[in-house]
Amino acid sequence: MIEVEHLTKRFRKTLAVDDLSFKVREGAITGFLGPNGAGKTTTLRIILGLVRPSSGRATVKAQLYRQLRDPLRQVGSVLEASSFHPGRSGRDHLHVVAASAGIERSRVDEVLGLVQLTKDGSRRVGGYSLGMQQRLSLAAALLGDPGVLVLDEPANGLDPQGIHWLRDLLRALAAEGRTILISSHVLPEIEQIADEVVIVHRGKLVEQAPTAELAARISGGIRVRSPEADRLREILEQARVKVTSAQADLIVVGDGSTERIGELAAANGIVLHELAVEKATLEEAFLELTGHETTR
Amino acid sequence: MRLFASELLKIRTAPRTVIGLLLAELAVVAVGTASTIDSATSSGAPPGFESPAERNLERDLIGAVSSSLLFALILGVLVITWEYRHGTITQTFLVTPVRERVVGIKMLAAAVVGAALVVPALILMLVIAEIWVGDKLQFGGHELALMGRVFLGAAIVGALGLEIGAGIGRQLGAILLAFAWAAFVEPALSIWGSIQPYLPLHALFQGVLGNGDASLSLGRGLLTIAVYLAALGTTAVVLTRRRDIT
Repeated sequence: MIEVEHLTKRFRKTLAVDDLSFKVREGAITGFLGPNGAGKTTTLRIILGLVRPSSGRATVKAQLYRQLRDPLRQVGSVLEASSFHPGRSGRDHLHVVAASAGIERSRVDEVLGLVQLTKDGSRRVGGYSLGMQQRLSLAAALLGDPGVLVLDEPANGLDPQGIHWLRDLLRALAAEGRTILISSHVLPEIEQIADEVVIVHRGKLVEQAPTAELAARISGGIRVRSPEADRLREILEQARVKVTSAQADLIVVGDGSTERIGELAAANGIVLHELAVEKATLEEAFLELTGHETTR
Repeated sequence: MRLFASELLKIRTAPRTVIGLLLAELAVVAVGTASTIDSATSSGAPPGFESPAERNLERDLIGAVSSSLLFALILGVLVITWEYRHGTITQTFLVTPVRERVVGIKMLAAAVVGAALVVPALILMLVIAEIWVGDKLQFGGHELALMGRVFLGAAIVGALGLEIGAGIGRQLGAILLAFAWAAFVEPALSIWGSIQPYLPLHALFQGVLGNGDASLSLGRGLLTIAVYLAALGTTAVVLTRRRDIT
């Protein structure tokens, strides 16, 4: 659906994207993550034909963006909330976009309703809050009812209710079979909605995996609580199971399985109060993969 | 057609700048018209005789209207540079990723709107002239042809402004470049008499508008301007295609 192949972009001395390749699966929500300056926005803009790659290519439906027929009906995008003429009303902004894309005017009121801006549609965009501008960007992205959405930080400026609303909207859009590529720094949000994640760092691909698999792979270990923690630790170490930390009644085991630990405890008559896999969050996985740098 | 309509819609739905330009244009034309009439009527010709200024009054009044070209040029620059300034160029290129089409359609829009700017200027001039010296005015076929040339000239400079704006990408830079050319570069180049007929403003004023000694025919003037339009247009397209929208 969206395919990035050996993409490189250099801005003078800065290498923004470095031989990046990944594919976005059709009908899935794919989170696009990376620390500040990782090349996410540049990559999205190359996909949308706004930035020319130094080498490599990015395609949507096997075509360069500029080759798409009626692109707004195929790809909707949210890039930044400030791309509006401040003197134009939100409704007029959408009318201009609709007119240039050959989309019927009635669709403007539909998408304004969808992003809950019907009441404010006649106000000048210059008076909009960042969250309202973000909603207007989403409305423009949805004007052509496209099958593919490319969203760069769509939750920026939204309040908690707005983020909740956005999550529900994206889930509903994905349920209709749309392909969504979304970059965000709100990792818990991505974790809740993304089927897959693509993680980039310094312009390079670090990881592409299903969200659940990635979190499980970077597991926090197995958490064991027992009133006989010291004896259990000795037994585990004799059985060559790596114990990463131990407290009075708590052991964290770095490898092995819950089945094996449970069996060893039972065989030695040790009571267990807790035996559970400590799942890593996407944020923890992200930080581990990107070396604890901050995201944007 | 839909792209052209959307360009006009962009202007109509964010009218403050255009209204500001229009008011400035009308002020300049009003002053120019008043000054032209005043100098013609106070030239001190004996009673019963026409002074040269009075004889050429209609032509000079149309000349006052041709100051609209300055505003058509600025509007042409703005048609694309305000998109860069406000970031709306991103949406424009997302809808129409073939950027040469964007430049072409905007050129057409700038030409049409540039020519349209002449209409209120012409009406204002006629109203002032009618009130002040209505009994002395005689507009005939020659004057109508001159008015037509002003419309043509405004359309041309609108398109030229768009090309300069598309090439530079920055509002102030593009306007300053256009003024620097008019105020310094072309006058300096005009020192070499042999190249003067090939300079754009000379071709515009002498050939298209028929000002001065009209030593350049309309056809030669249009041909010269067409070469500049083609060269600047090609440069604008190349630069626009290469520009990263970050």
